[in-house]
Amino acid sequence: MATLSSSISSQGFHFTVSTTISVPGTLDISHSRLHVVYDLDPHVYADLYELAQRPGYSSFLWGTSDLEKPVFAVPSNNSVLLLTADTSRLVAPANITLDVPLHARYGRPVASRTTDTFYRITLEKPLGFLTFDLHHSTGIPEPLGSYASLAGWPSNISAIISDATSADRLQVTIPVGVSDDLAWVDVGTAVVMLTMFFYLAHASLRTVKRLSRKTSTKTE
Amino acid sequence: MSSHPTTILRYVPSFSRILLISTLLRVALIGYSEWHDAHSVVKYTDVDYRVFSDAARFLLDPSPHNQAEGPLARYLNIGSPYTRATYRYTPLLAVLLTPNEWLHPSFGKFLFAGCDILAGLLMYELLVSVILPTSPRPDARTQAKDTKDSRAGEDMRQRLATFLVSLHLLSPLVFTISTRGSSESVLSLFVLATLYYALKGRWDLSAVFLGLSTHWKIYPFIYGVACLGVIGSTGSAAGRGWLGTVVNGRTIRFALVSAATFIALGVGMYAIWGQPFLEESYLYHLTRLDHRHNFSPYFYLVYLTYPSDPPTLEPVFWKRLLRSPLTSFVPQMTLALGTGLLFGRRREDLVFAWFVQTFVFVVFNKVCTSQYFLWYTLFLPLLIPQLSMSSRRAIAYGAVWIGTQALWLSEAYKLEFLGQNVFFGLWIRGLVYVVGNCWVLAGIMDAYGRNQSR
Repeated sequence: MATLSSSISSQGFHFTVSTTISVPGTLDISHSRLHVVYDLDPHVYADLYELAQRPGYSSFLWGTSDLEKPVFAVPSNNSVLLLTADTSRLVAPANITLDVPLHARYGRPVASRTTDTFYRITLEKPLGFLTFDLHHSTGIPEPLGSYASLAGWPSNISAIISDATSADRLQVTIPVGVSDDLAWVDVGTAVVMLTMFFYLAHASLRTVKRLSRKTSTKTE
Repeated sequence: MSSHPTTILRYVPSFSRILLISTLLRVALIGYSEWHDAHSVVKYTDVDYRVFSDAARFLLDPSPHNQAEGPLARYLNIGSPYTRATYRYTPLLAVLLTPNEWLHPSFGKFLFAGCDILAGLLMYELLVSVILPTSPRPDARTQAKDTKDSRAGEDMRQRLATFLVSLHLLSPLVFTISTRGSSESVLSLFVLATLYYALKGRWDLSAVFLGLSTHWKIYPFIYGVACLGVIGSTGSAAGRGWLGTVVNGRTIRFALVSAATFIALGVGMYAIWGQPFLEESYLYHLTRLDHRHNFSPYFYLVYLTYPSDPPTLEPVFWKRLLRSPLTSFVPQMTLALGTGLLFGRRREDLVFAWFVQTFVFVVFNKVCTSQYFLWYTLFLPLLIPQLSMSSRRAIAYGAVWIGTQALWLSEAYKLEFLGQNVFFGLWIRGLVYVVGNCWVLAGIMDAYGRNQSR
């Protein structure tokens, strides 16, 4: 039976989930497809165009893929990312590793620095499964039941790939802003920008007066 | 600058050699980018290049979910570049990059590198034919000197022009931006063409390129303001007073030609691609909220006050005023347009006027990334001959300009890649960036025109 293990390498707002599927020699996958589904917290997004450049798999996303908004400005439901591995050259037994780059949105600011100024994003562990190439009447395994209604979700599911690791979920920690800072940021930004406005306005007028004086002197 | 170390200029190679070196450098980097991207997860190629290339592919590959939406679209079997998420540019850019699909994926990079080289050619031509010859003229006694000296002077002028242009063509900021696939060099070429024809007194052509530049990216419209004063200060409109200088037959003609070019391009694009063109190319930029960190100190204010669902209205009036878009827009536009009117009096001051206008536009903008610096550094090779400052001062300005960026980048790295909570510190460094850049700009203004006979 195939097994799956996942790990996460986290670097600030950008991290990679690596999922390795071990395919034993006893498993015939010549007429099957290998899929891995990632249930993404709203704090996390996948850039499909970036994934399209990655070798070894194709991808499909359900849910918001808006890259340009913080978490509190996008729908609060999870998005679902489905990868289909390229097994055309796979000769079992073999290991397939799918590296998925993911990114974190800016989180909701906390009220003050007395609370934790970081947010822990918890990701459901990736779920692997096989589907038959040919039509084969099967039921929907329970772990995948919530995804079955998604448009374009693969049918003919043959087997769930068991997870070989012990940890339940993957975690990423991101910093968040502090609303208490707004008192400084409001006034500080306006004061500095307006001060620089007057500074440059004065420098401009001084320069144009000097240049005009030179022109007048030459005319005389 | 007033003191040109002629000994250094003796070692400056010919302009054709600089062009060759610049071209080969770009070709080599584009070749390297192909190898690097194929062997590394971290790509050399800019994310934006992928956006442009995808948009070009969508344009060539219409489908039921990918169709142009303009009134003329029914007669053309053409897709929409706006099918590509985050494509917020003119369709012309996608059209230009369609050879990426049927010729080679790196065609666009070669195009952008080619625009770099053409820009260098324009700069050189402007320097040798317009800018450098306007240095102080010899008096009647020295005019009697023999032709050997005038040939030597012409040779020095060409060497100086070559040196100045090489500052641009061989600048890592410039050649990495184009070879990574950013399209900034296309706009740079259009802006330089606008300036070229303006300095040559060919105002209709200048107006056409201004309209094209503004279609490409909105901000070049500010240059038109400086042009009005220059146009109005010459010919029969001269001496009419300020209003008569800015509003007269010639300036109205310039404005109409420029506006007609802009509108014609816009109408053409709308006719084919419809409302998405207007929304993504123009309207998006009016309402965009850049909450992620960038050089502008406004990022943290935007992040902390980003509209949520349901929206909440700030009850305190003065806070609403401080956060109003007008609080940033009014100073920015007042300076960008005001300096154009103040300094756009003589054709010889046009380079300086556009440099100052662009600099203030970038510094006071609500979002600023490294590519924006190219908008005003473009003018530096043309401006340097008109600046008079000591080497020590020049080094100080350069150090502050680079140092404030380095200060910000080091903190931004901690936030983005190490996940440290440095939002407040990054905002402070954004303020330092603004103050430092304003000091540099004021110094450049102070150094301008001190060595000219006016």
